Amino acid sequence: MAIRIFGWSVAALGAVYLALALQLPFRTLNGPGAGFFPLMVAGGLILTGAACGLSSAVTQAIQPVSRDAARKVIVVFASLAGFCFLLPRIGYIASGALVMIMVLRQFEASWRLTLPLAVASAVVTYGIFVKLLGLPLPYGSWLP
Amino acid sequence: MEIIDGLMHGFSVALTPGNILACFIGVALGSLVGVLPGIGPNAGMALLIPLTFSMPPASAIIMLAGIYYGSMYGGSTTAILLNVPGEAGSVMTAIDGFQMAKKGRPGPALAISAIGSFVAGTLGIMGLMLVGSWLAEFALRFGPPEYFALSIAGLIFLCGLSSNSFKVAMVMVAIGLAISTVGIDPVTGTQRFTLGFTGLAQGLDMVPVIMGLYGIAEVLAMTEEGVQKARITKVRLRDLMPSWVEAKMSALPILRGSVLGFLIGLIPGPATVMSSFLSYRVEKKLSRTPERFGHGAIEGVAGPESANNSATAGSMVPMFSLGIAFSPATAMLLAALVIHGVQPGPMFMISSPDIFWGVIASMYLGNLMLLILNLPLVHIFVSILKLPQHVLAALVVLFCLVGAYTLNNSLLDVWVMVVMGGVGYAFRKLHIDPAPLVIALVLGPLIEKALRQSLFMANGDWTYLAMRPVSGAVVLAVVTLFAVNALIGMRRRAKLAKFIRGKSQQPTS
Repeated sequence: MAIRIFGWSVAALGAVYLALALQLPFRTLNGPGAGFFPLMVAGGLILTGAACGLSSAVTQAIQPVSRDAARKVIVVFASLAGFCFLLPRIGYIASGALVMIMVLRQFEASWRLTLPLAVASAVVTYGIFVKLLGLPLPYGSWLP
Repeated sequence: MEIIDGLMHGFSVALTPGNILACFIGVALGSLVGVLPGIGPNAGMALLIPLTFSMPPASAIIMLAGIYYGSMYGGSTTAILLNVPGEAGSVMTAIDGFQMAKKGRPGPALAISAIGSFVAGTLGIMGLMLVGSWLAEFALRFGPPEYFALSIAGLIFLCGLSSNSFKVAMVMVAIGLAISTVGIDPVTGTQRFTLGFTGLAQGLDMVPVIMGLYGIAEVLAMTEEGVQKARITKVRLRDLMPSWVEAKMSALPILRGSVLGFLIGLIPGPATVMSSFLSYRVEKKLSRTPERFGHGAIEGVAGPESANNSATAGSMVPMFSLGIAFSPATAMLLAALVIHGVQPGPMFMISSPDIFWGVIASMYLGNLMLLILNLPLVHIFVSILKLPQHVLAALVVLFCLVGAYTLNNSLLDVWVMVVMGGVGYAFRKLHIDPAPLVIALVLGPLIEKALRQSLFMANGDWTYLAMRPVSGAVVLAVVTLFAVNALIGMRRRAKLAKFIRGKSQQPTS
């Protein structure tokens, strides 16, 4: 059932992709245009998605996720998105340490391990990437 | 003669202190990645690409290639000692390897696995040298139609061999191709599917996509499943020695596995997994005592372990000689080469001999290092399993985040990685292998460019693609494969229907 839903979702995505592809030029004087290949891909998305949606093949059952486990996954995912939001604002060290805290806490690590490890790993990775390799990381627009 | 000269040049590159260190770091990290269940070579290589930015291209590729083939060595350690394959290519090793460990023979299983990996790795590199240079010379005659036909054939083979059903694999290919079209059209310069985001004009980088699909998705899965502490069997150095009978029984499986693995590595698809599976089947079939398989047969360890190692060398042939990656791991190597301004393909050996021969020579060196790391020092890698897995998971997250950002100093790459992490987790729940998506994403721009150039050359005549000798042969091979596949499917369905009919006609007592 889940594979069927997946198939139809891809087919729907293919329809949106097709609508966007149709706005691109199909042919130019020099041959196929920018929309030529996307139109074929759109066809592929819709056809394969629909074939999957109509499939009657028996697939492996999906392991049910407990409410607690689902909450943990959502928290980790949200903290990753939070990192993306905070990185340009509070800089790498603070946002890196925060995401480490969030992830470690979901694994039920103690605060005594979590806090020093989060700060140390953020500082060490900052040192490796910025000081050692010379790669820039955001300082943070909210910081003085 | 050219090959020997090239190899000598390669050793002069590989044996510089910087490159020896790069090779050592690569193979040690590869063994580590292989030992740790979950973090496979793809995520490992993706994580470490940003660290290679300040390195010379040859050192960077030597290190990343070391992670790839090194992971095959490490994968067998947990498979034998814990019945937990460190990476997918070691699944078959776990069957008999763990049984041997249970019977008190973990040492010989580890030793045969390391020796087999060394022999196969060395033979695989010889194959890479011979076939790679021949293929590169042959591919100089290739034009856009040949590249188009080869890439499409590769994708179709991959779909047929993927762990997904053919339909699902085709869906994944379509998604990968769709993602590859985001950004500026390489021929006309038109912006496509950028939805007004200027950052998307450059297209979606492959590295954050792989980091998300493999690294972040793995951590999300670990969050859901929780982490378990491993119970580790202690292995002493003196226990590693296999008996004379065990060594004799392993010799031929190692050689057969090496040849089989290399040949399967040349074919698009999950080469390491497939080669070890096929090698196991072959060894069981050839054995006079097949009933021992599954209960601790040393041939069941020697064959598959050799096969998955030589498959890594085989899978590098199309990447180096044609510039086409047919597996996520070689796609990572391809991405690393492009990041360092090197374009693999038929001219690669001529334009970048330092890198081509340097990497090949470093693989000989790396295999020797791996033999030492995985025999006398195996207990160090085993003790790494005692590290708390949740600390490792959190560090993987942090490295993924910082690595994705530093690729192009772009927050968009981090967003892409996070979103793909969520998508990858959903794929795991649906038991969908993301490899066809990754390969389609890599091959998408090549396919589009080759198709448009071919049609331009032929004034829009599609038959031109099938009329040229090489592309025609590839098209014929794909059509034959489809026909054979359909015939086998029909026969299987007919057999099944006959069986069901027979069952329903049986009188019930």
